[in-house]
Amino acid sequence: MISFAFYLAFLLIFVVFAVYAERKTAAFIQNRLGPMEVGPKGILQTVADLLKMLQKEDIRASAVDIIPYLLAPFIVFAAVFTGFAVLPVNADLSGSTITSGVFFLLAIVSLDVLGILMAGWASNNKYSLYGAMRSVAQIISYEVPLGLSVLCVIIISGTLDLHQMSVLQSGGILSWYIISHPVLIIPFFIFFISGLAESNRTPFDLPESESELIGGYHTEYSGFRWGIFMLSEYGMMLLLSILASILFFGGWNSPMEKIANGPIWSTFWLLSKSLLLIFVQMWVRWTLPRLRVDQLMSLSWKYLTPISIVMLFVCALWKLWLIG
Amino acid sequence: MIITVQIFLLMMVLAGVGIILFTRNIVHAAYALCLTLLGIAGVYVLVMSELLAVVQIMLYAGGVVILLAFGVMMTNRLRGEKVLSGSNNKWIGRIISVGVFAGLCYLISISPFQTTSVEKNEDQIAQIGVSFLTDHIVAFELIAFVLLVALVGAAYLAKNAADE
Repeated sequence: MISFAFYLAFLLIFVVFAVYAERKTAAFIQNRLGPMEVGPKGILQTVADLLKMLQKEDIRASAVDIIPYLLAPFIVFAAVFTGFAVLPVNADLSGSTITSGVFFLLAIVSLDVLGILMAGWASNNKYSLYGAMRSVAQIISYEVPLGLSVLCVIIISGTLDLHQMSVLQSGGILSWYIISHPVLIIPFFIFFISGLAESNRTPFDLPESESELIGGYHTEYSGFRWGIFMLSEYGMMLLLSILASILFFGGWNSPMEKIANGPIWSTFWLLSKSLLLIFVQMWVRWTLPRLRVDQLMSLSWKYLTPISIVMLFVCALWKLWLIG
Repeated sequence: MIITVQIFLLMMVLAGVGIILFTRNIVHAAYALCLTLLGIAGVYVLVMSELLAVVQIMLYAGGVVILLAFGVMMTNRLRGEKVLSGSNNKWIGRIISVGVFAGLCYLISISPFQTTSVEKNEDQIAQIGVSFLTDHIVAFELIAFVLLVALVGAAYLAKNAADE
């Protein structure tokens, strides 16, 4: 329960600063300054935007299917946020101790597709429906390589519980899975790419491509409900980054074996690893152009899925011969 | 605490079933089906079979409902009109459904189900995995084969559609 409350508060604060960080990263990559007016170096810009967004009139088109239209943003957010229930915070705060931890996480997070489909359908707008369809096709396709790359780690660790997995990686940077088992380097990249697609981030942001679809499945949403969609997108980024740092980078373990191991330090390590991965996601967003729909599908089905199946086999052999 | 959860799950399942019965909009019915399936997953958690609950969420609530919704939406787009389910043969339908309900109730009442509660089993997943690869290996391999056939068939159908 405490870890859940911690992540709720952290997520809300994170979103405010992540939007600022996103805009500053974009600005520096494009050789601009970015937000500079509100507060020192524009750091309060997102707070101002948030206040503006909350005061906006709640506009609804008259032909929307009203109940699904109103419910959809909350279903998306609930599905994403339920995933945080099984994440550990540090060595003492383990999250929900269900034995099927990461399997539960992947199952419940995949339900956000239902909310997206509901939003696109209920908006009664062809651009929204296009966006929702693209999003559903993309999320379902990329769940296959995502699940298989997580399975590689599960084979090596022999447990589904994320807290147990972090405990197994304690003992300095050399015990982290990506270093102690180099066979996991390729699954990590597959996980990262599929994670970008799962959270609808560029180069996989076809569902909300502004230039073609005016925002995709949330075209008809404004104000607070649109904000909930954005909150869930950033929540998904944070969830997958924390998951990646637990699966591959030792979770809450410090890089030095004996140094900096207290509860506050281990929370710091987990969150700083995740925030570093989020910075990489932003960096990728402003570096790569968007894929076409057919390229998106062939990347998933013709490259990532076969590679991850082969890596699953290699990981099984690695476990059999080298770990025993 | 647990009684609150039970009442909540009961409301969830009944609300889903009620919407499926009385709505004429098929998309609403598909989402209500999802609500019911999630409620049943919650019941599985309460009786300590956690893996079954996760499988229920993944396969039924996630997969089946999405496919259903896809099918409904695609047919709707093709005809360009709203898909409303009518109701025909009302009396025959009522008699058949009451008959099926009575039959199921009878079968459940005579089945030797275990009615005592079980302790939480930590090794549930490992046990299921081991029994898949030892006692039930034929069924397991057959399912894998059927799924492979379905996958190849789907790819073949999609290829034909693209050629035309």
